[in-house]
Order: sequence, then structure tokens, then C-alpha cells
Amino acid sequence: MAIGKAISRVEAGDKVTGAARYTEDVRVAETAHAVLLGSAISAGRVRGIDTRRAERAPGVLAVITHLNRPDFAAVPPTPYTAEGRMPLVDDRIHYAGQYIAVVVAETREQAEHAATLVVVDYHRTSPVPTLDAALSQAYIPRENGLARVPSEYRRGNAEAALAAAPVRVEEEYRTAALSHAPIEPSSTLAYWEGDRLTIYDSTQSVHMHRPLVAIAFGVPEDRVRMYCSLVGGGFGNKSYSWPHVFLAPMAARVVRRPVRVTISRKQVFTGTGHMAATVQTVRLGADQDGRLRALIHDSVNQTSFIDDRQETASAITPYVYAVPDLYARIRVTKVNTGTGGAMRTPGDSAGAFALESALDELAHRLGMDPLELRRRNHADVDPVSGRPWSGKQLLACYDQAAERFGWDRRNPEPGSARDGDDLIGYGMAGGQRTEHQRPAQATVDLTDDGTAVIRSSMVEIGGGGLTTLSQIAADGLGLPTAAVTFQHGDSALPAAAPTFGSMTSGSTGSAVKLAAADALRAAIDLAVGDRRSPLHGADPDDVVAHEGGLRLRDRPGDGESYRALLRRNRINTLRGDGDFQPEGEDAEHAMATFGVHFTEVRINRYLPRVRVVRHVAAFSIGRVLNAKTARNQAQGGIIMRLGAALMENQRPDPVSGRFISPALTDYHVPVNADIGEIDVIFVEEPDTNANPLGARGLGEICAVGICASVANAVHHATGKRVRSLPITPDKLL
Amino acid sequence: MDETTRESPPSRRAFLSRSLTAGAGLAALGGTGTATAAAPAVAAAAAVDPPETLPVSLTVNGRRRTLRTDPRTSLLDALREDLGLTGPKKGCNQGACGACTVLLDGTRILSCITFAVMFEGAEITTVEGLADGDRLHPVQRAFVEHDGFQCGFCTSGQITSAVGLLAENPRPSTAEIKELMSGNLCRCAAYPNIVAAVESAAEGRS
Amino acid sequence: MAFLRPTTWPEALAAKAELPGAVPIQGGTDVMVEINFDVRRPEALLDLTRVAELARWSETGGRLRVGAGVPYSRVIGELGDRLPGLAQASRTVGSPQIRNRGTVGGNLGAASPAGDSHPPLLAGGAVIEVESAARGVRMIPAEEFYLGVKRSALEPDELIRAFHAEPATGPQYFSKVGTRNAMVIAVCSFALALHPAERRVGTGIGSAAPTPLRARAAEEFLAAELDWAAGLAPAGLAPGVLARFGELVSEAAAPIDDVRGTAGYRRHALAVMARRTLTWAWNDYRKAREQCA
Repeated sequence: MAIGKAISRVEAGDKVTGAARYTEDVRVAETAHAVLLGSAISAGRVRGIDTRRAERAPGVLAVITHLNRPDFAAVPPTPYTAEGRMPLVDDRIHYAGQYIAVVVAETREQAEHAATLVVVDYHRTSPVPTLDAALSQAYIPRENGLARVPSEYRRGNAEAALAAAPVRVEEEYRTAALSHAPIEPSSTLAYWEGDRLTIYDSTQSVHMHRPLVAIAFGVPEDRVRMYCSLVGGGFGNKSYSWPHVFLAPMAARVVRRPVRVTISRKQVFTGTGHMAATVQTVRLGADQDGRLRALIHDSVNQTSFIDDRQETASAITPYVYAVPDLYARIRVTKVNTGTGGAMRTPGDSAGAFALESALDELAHRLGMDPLELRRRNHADVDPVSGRPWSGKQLLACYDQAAERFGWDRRNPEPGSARDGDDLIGYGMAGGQRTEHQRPAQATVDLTDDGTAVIRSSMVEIGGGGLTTLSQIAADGLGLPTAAVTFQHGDSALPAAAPTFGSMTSGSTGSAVKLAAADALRAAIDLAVGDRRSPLHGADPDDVVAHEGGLRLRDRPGDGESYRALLRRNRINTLRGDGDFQPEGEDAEHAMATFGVHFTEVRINRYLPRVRVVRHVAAFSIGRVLNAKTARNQAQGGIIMRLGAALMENQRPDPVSGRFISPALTDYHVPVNADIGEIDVIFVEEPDTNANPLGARGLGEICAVGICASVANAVHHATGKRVRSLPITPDKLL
Repeated sequence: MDETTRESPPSRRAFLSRSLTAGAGLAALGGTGTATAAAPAVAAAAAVDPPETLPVSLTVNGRRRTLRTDPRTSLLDALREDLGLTGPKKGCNQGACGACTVLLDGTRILSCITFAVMFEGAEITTVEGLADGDRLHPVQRAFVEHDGFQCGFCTSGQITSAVGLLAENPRPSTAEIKELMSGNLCRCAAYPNIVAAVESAAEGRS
Repeated sequence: MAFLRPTTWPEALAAKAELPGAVPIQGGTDVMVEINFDVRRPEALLDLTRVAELARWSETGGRLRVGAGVPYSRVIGELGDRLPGLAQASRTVGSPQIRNRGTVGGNLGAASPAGDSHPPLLAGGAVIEVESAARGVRMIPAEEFYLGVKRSALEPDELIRAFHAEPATGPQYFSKVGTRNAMVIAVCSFALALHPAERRVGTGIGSAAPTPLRARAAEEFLAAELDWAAGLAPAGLAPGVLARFGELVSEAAAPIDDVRGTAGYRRHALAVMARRTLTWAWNDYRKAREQCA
């Protein structure tokens, strides 16, 4: 069995030698370079824009503004079109950095230079700079950004139950705006041949994004070919098509040449979304024995003047604990900032900070162990639908992680543990993510040299899908993983599920499994019907794949290799088709992934910067496809959220609303020296209720609950409850 | 509240023409015998097409390369655009991420914040130059074995940085590795695996 | 943009005189960030990497002269014993890649209040050697060098040639507070140097005022309070002395709230760093005295 093995990534050789090709590495002859000019103001309009000097600058091919742009054919649908307003459509400015001109030149240096020559006459209006300034205007959006998430959810009468509860916690929690900060800035290279558009794009899904471009330019979808093999950091940053994606084909049309747009690091911060800041209130009511009676979770996030994009912080809350009376609401409020994106883990990461902090506060008030409080409120079935879970090993996660961490050594008294000048704190928190599935297609070709080729449009963003899906095909056909190659990242291939939303394993993985099974079936049918085959006449159900060929289940000696079978029959390839269709609303089971986190912090009592020295997490994700890549991904998700807990903050200027520090020099993400011991446990149980493969997603659940776990540990260390992220030293003085 | 502002950034063309004058003056001063074709002491800008370029010869991954480049061109851009290498990456263009790390005479530096024309005669090694034919460098092998990456975009920089680190300090402690690899951001946060890879490469050497 | 490549110091001075707007570049770690981000558009760049003498240091008559082109990594490796405070600060500059290229000269040229070399240069009483073709050499004490945010006493036609400092005669310490464990610009920083021969104390504060600065009142207080001759005296520092020194250092600063930290945290952290560095330094001093005795 290849599945589950800790094998090295199939693309590792390319990645360690510099041979791996990302979008910015693609070279097309005659490519011109476009630089995008962003607005210097955050609200108002462009009264005049003088491009004459820029147009005369050396090498300049075109300067495109709202005054001379070609029309878009239509506005493609949101949210996968990131902004509901197409770039350059009018003179309105909604946020600082919004693109107001495209300068195209022979070289990037020339385009950058010419962009500095564009003179803009702004009409400035008073911006709404911050979430706080807009909080009183919060509203429930009429159009929901994510159709699957209701803006309001109610069961029972939460207000009445809260009033009647003997113990209550009612607090406000805040999360900061965050940047995905992928190391790869987005890049798009586009060229037209008649009405055929070829587009290389840093995208997490060629098949989700191709139709958007086709709609925008009014061409049939099959005339657009979109490529993306490797993404240099996704985290949701490249799960939507941001405005630059549409500007590259537009510029290519104007100059009749291939055009590349690679956004600057600053534009990664301003032009490709962020996790919106939230203000949340959580109100909990419980019995003295810790049983939750009422839960109200209300969230407001900033959105842009262009879109009503929700950071769905309270969306998961109804599903997590067995609370009879519950109310959850998600509102937005408009700020002069760009539209928020979907950042690992949309909604749930921010929401878990509030909910799991509040539970810790409740446990403290009750004098109860925080882990025990969660055990007592365990949701044995999905509290929303009443359906059983497809698989849930959360209680086992609690047990194993607590034991590994040494939770029983914790003295519940805050401030009780010290080591010299260090205050030591232990904290924990839970996490849950609804499991999403989408249709996915793949083919697996058995070839007459005894190898197999997977064909599916999947983009590799680092989650390890190229490897795990190769393992799946290998097992399905009885081949070593090394005998499987993967054609991917091309919209001409069968449509994979997008590489976001934790869908690769469950959805695309299932498609590959089905395709491999189909190819195997075709090979078996060929063999049993072939007089020259040692398997001739056998019952197909008795034939199995084994070591590069077929054999009888009960008589291992009888069989032959795929190579022999195909060559004798003069067949180059036998194709198996895999079409995974999720059960959707009619599923018998509710599906989610689950996790728990335990964190040890150390805080110097004089310079109280929080250091996470140890973190133990356990996850329930069904089957683990590759222990090596899974562990890496889980560690990474944890560390990313440690950044959100302790340092990351995309702060808006209190007057203009523009991000103060759109640069990696000041938007600090964790560095190697920040990382203590990270220990990950998978409580494995193949979940065939969820899909044929038995695997649920990992990339998102691993990043839910960490911030609360840290904040709870900080409280345990210091007695101070920090309800606003990030937990910086000034908040602990 | 409405107000109108007119923002006109200073023009690069303007200082190009200014420097033409200045450059002419300096050329007159350059009679010290140091101005050669390969390395003029003073190179004047020209405000005409195409923009001025300067010649630079350097050794990249063992091959002598000569190119003419805009003096504004960073070493990173020269490696990627002029010499066609894809290993060094532009992550931030301000020395904050480390994805552009290359070795200068064996010492790790950031290629994005240094000009190509400053490297006359220098020996540059990028990640493409580490392997010996098909045989990966021990640090590359260790990154594969320990899964020291996810998306791979920072990996070229991590690996060249690790090679530089082991040249500076062949037996680093775990804490030293963490600190001395901190110039290379990994947003996928494969940090624990990167540390394991560098440790194992260091052990393999000793 | 002109790119000037002098190979000797007189050529460099001549070029700077001819083109005072030319920006000197050594490692590039400061200058080029601003160029890449279009913060700065110099009319010309003056590449000093070919002026070999700038990458040398020497020690004559008990004084060190360190060329403006000596990178941080060499300050750490070659001068760590003579200039321990500066070497400690150099270890905290950016990343190893930046330390391999960045120089103290560049740090002085940029004159950012957050530059890591400034506090130890102030505490150690360094003197900056600058020169112009027209007026020759000027020796500027570090304290008089920093005039404002990113403004120094350097005239447009001058170049920084070297800095001069005495090798440490007593303990020197540097401490820096950042938002993460490495790769940080200082939220604030502090350097302390004890000069036992003169019974003098040197201090330097970074990133907590428009310029790097000395905490003079703190220096004078401490110089008077320390029992320099104590040597074998059993007592450590009186808690009152430590606390007061911290207060005086904190009071000397004029911090603001910014994206890296709050003014309140900076004042607090300065006091802590002052107490810490003093504790370390005094322990070293007493140990050294014990060994002598």
C-alpha cells in the first residue's frame, strides 16, 4: 500500500533544484510587461489622469485608464471574481491601491518608470477608515457572499435561555486584518490568438477561474486555456480572481502581444485580499455543571464599498457543541479598504478565537477544567441537522493530545507556574471545520510500458496533492508510486476540484481513485476476454492488481503484467474515467473535520512577549494519505495561526484607512527562530461515509483554534485575558 | 469634506537628463586611468532610447557570463531575466523574505537588493549550481528527505542559505540553525522540517 | 540614472563633489530597498565597493579605525573582542544574508533612528570620519552625527570613510526588543558601555526618539553611584540604583506609537533593558576585578 506512507513529494526534485516552474517563471516570446498603478487615496474619484508623459517614455506600448479602456463583456459572478466591480470601469476610488492605470512597456523597468510619470488629479472624499469607525453601520448583507452559509441561524430561544442560565460569560473579541502574505506575488501572463485566450495565472483552480475570464471577455469557455501547475503559496490568496487577472488579457488585447502582470509585494497586501478584521461578541449561558444552555455568537467584519464579503466567523458555531438554544449572526460594515478574501481558515479561525476563548472564560468561572467543559458539551450528532457525523474522533483527539501534552500537570490557578523570570501557561482550545466537497474529474491511463498517467487539472499549492493522488492511483493499479506521473494544472484536462477549501483529498482524490478503479476494470476485462492471457476466462471479481499487473486473488502465480497485456493487444493506453459527485444535501451524514490544540507559553515577566515553546494538536480527518506531507501541512497551519495570535496585524491608518505597513519588513510573519516544538497527532479512522477514499480535508482544520489556545495559555500564565489579536507585549503590561 | 490634490511624482526622466550633464562633467574628470571599457569609473546616463546599459562579466554556476544591463537592474533580475535562471525568486524585492538568496564567492547574500553591475568578476552560485550533475547536493537531498518545503517557492533561497550557513558554521546547534535560517521566510511554515534537513545535512558532513 | 564606480577614495570624493545627489552604495541593503520601492529616486549611485580601503580596519595607538565598508559579519567575526557592544548589535541586524553585505557605514549614512549600530557607537564614544574633496576630513563624534529622522551631519559633498573607537576597556552590552525572535527592526534598543579607566558610563538608545541618543542623566547618575573601586566588595548593585538607572534611561527617550510598538511599551522596555544590561555589565566588571585581585 502506498496510501498512508511517508514518501517524499513526487515534485521534490524540481523544487530543490530550481527547476520547478511557477507562473512568473513561464517565458513566452515577445512578452510585454504591465505595471499596475494604484490609487494614492482611499476614497473619491479620479478627476483627471494625464498619461502623456508616460506614453512618450522609452519602451511604452500603452497606458490604459478608465478613459480609454476596452469594455468588459460582462461582470463575472462573485465571489470567485474577487471584486464585484471590474477594474478601470469608472473613475470611482473605493480603497487605497485600487488600480487606476495599466502601463505596458517592453520591459518591466520601463513600465515601472513610466508609471511614475502618470499624473493623477484626485477628487478626495472623506473615507471610512476602520472597522471601529463603521461598527454602528453594521448590517446583514442582502446578497450572501458564500451561498452555503446563512447570515443568521437560530435554534430555540437563546436570549431567554441565556437569561435563565445560572452562569454566564458575555464578552467582546477582536481579530485583526491579516494578509495571506504568500511568498509568491500573483502573476498573470495572457495572450490572444484571434478569440483564443491563453492565460498562465497564479491560481488555486484553473477550472474555477477560466469561466470568469471567458465571461469577462465574452468568449466561449472552450476558447480560454488556463494553466497553473504550481502556486507559490495559496492560503486562499489565489482562490479568487483578483483584478489584475482581468487586466492582463485586457492589456494583451490592447497591445496585441503577450502581456505579463506580476504584482508588487505591496500589491499583494492591497490587491489580493486579506482576512477581514472582526469584532465579535460571544454570550454563553451554562449550568453549574458546565452544560451549555445558551450560546449567542455575533460577528461583524469590515468589507469594502464594492462587495458585501463576509468573514463568516460565527458560521461554524451552531455545529460545534450540543447547545439547545443558539443564535448566530454575521454582519458586515463598509470601510474604505479592499474586499476581503478567503484566508486559511475562512471564518472558522477568527470565530474559534472568540468561541474557544469564551469557553475558557466559562471554565475558569465554573472552576472546571477547560477540557472537561468541552467533553461535557460534545456534539454526538450534528446539532444543526441531527444527522450522524460521517466520522468524528474528537474525544480520542482530546485524550491523546492531552496525554502527549501533559495536560494533567496543569495547576488551574493562573500565574501558578514559573521558571525564573518566565511565567508559564498551559492553554487549550478546540476547532471544527465543515467538510466541503465538489464534483471532480480525473482520468488514469494505463500505458503499455507499465506505467500510469493521472490527468486532472489540479494545481499543486504545497498541500502535497501531486504526491497523495499519485499514491492513490498507484494503489488502485498495484503500481509503485514512481510508476505514476501526473499531468495537471491545465484547463484542457479533466476538471479537478479547486485546491482550496480542503477539497483535494476528498474530492479530487476520490475522482482519481474512481479513475484508477475504472482503468483496472478495463484491464481486467481485457485480460479475461483475451485467449492468450493466463487470466482468460477468470471471473473478473477474482482478479486483482498486483505489482505492475494482474493476478488471481487466490492463485498469486497466475497473472501477467500490464505491459504484456497491453502490448499483446496492441493497446497504447487504457483509460479509466473518474467522476466524483458529492452527495450534497441528501447525504446521510454530516461531515466535518475536528481538532484540538494544547499550547505552552512562556512570558518573561518584565518584557512580556509571548513565546510559544510547545504546541500539541490532534486532528480527526479520516484517513491520512501521506504521513510526511500531512504532518508538514498541519505544522504549517498551526504556525501560520501562531503568527495571527502573536504578531500579524494589517493595521489601517486611522484617518485614510490605507494599510500602514504593506511590506514584509513590518507585517511580521513567524520566522524560523520563533518556532518551538510542534507536535501533531492524527487520530485516523478511514471515513468511507464521507467519500470512497475515506479521507477528509486537513489544510484548513489544522489552522482553527490555535489563537484561542494561545490566548488561554496567556491567561493561565498571567491572569490576563487578552480578547484582541494579536497578543502583543503592550497588552500584557 | 472635499479637497483636491494634485500628485505628480518626481520624474525619472528628469533626473536622467540631469545626470547626462553631470556625467559629462565626470567623464572629463575620469582621466585617472581607471576608466576601462569593462569597468568605467564613471558611466553617464543617456536620456535617449534605449536606456543606458553597462557591461558586466561574472561567473554564474561555473560559467562565465557577460551581459549589458540597465544599472537599475538588480542582481536578481539579471539572473532571472537576462540569464534565464528560475531558481532565485522575487518574493518581496526588499530583502525581507530571503527567496532571492544566492552565494557570492560562497557567502550568502540577497540578490534583490544589490545591483548586477556591482558584481564584475564575481562568482555567483544559485540553487541551479549546487548539484553535481544529477547528483543532488547533500543539502538538497536533506530537504527532499525531510520534506523541507510545501509550495516550494522559498525553497531555492532556503537551500542556498543553508549551504551558506554550513560554510559559515559547519556544526550549528539547533538553536543556531533556527536563528541563522531566519532570513528565509517560509509562509507554508515548513520550519521544523527545514531545521531537520539542515541538521541532517550538517551531520552528514561531519 | 548614472552609476559611478570609483576605485580609489580620491575618485570617490571627486565624484561626490561633482554630483552631490549621488547616493553612496556599499552593501545596498538600505539604499536599494528604497529604490526598489520607489521611495527614493537618486540621480546617481556611487558604488563604493571597489574602494578597497573602505573594507579594512586597523588599530593604531590604542584606537580602532574601521572602514565604512566593513560588513556586519566581519565586525562580529573580527572585532567581537574589541567592540563587543557593536558586535552584539551587529548580530541582531536583519538576517545573515544582510549582515554579509550591510555595513556600519551604510547604517550611519541612512541615519535611521532604528539602526542597530547607533546605540553602541554612542555608548562607546565612537567618532565618525567623514571627508569631502573641498574641505577634507571632519571628525564628528557619534553624538553630534544624528540630527533628525534619517538626517545626519553629513554634508552633501561628503562621504563617510570610517569610524573610530577605542577597544572596550570594560563590559559592553546591547539589548534590543523586537516583535519576533529574529529578522526584526528594533521596536527599541539600548546599549551600555562601562569605561572603568575614566569611571564613565556610556549609553545609547535606539528607535525611541527621532534620532538615536544618549541618556546623559542616566550616565552621570550611574557613574557617580557605581563603586568603581569596589572590586571585591560583596554587594551587587543596590536595587535602588538599578531602578533609578532604568527610569532615567526611559525618561531620556521620546518614543511614539507606531506600527512596531506603542510609546508606553517602548519606555517600559527601555527601563527593563537598562536594568538588564547594567546587571550583566556589573557582574562582568566585578568578576574581572576578582580575577585581577
